[in-house]
Amino acid sequence: MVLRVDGLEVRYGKLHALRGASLSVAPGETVGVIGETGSGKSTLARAVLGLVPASAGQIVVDGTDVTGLNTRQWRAFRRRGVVQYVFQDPLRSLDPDLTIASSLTEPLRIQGVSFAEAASRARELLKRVSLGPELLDRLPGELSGGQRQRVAVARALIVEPRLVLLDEPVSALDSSNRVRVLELLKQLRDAGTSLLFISHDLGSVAGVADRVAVLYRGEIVEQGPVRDVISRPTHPYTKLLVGSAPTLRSAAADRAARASLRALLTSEGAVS
Amino acid sequence: MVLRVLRLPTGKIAFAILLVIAALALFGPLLAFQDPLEGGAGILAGPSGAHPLGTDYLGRDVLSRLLAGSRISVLGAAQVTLVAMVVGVIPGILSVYLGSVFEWLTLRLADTLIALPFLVFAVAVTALLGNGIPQAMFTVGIMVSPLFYRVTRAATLAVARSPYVEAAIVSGATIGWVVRKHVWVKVLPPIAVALAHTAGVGFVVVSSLTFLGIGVQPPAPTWGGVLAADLGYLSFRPWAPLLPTALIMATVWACNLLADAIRDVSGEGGKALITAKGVRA
Repeated sequence: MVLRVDGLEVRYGKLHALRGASLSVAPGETVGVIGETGSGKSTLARAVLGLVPASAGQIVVDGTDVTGLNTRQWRAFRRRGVVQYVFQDPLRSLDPDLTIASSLTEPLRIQGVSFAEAASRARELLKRVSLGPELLDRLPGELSGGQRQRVAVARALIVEPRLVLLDEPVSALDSSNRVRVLELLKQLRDAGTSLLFISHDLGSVAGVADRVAVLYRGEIVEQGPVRDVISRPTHPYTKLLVGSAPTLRSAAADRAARASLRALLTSEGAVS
Repeated sequence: MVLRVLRLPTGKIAFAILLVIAALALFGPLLAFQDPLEGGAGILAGPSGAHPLGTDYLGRDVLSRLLAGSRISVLGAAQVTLVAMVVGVIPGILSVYLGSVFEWLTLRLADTLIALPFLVFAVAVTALLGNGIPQAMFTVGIMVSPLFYRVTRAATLAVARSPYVEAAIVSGATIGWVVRKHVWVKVLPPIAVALAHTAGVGFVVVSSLTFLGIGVQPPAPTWGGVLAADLGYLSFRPWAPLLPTALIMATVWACNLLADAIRDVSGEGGKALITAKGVRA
């Protein structure tokens, strides 16, 4: 397993963001994590990256138990380039004062690779995300949103990570750029990189992921192969999710059905 | 960095002015052709061959006083700025990264310095360290440092939790790397503005402290001191404050220009700006 999350709990003060989430990603597998705003999707990714501390549970990344690492150990682990992260907002995930070349090469430079070598790798990666080398000298502000997000993906790939966490990688993009980035992710998956694809949109995950996990109020309520989850959702929230995505079924669930599912969820929420 | 600043017109102008000011500070006291301390017969006289800028209320030659005072004035302002920067900027950046204890301590220290009455503090430091120009300038620098601390901290905070800094951290960057690569360029513009402001404050404060007998002792000349003396006799020589003011203004303005130029060429953004689009004003 490239990633194994076991009974992960994360608290922000009184807020219980994750309550015992368990999840695993096999080598070369793409797992989608679906959930609404505030369900704990990003917290899950940030905990795996060590950006927020876990209050209970275990996270094992590529054989390393990262749950108990101290700052120094985290830094050493991160420099191995096993995990990388692609952020939701391509506008803010690249430093506006750094050229694309500097941003792209940064992960390698942190590892101590020479600039010349890192720059030639950067050129290769730009090609891989179908961008021209002329972008290297530009600033993020001179690129479109789609170009920026592809640069962000390229930056994550430059260290050849075994696992890439994608936090809503296409949510801020228009539909044509969304298709492009999703295509890019498919290529990545086919090349054998494990992906953890976080989104609120079942539609964009369904095309790329092998399995999906549905996160609801900090708990993973349903997990399985994409086809099973879409065709036979068991949890009311998943039903609602599948029902509200008109492209996934010939007919969307009608208003009455959605309302009853919502009511069911609210009563469940009151119990838990 | 210096070469890049010099490629900007603003950088050239700033350098030229500061060069003149530095020359004044170096050679001014030697150029004073009359004793800046010795009074003559005619007091508050207008410009003449013997006194190109007239004389002050004790009959001393104003031009000689300005020339003789330039070294103390410039060095004083520079010292104030330097102290304020070192004492303010470094803790300002570190307060974001070194954990909550350091953050709390420096914040409260800054609050204390802001709340402390300036004169009481100046007198206390003078009593402790002895009366002298370096001590006085050190005091002023400390008193101005909360400005640098606050400005730097605010700019650093804005950058510290941005996704691109997190991206660097996820790749294993150290605090030093993050500060060098990402934070420094963003805190430089506000620091530059505060710096130019402080240099101006420095000139004025030197003269107000002189009034209290702290730091520069009268009758030793300074630009601020000459200005203060001129202001008392406006009805006799209404044009007199113009020259000391012009000197102080030119210095502060040049500091401002230089600060802008440094900001423009800082970081990759500045480099790309210059190489991609030619020189920009």
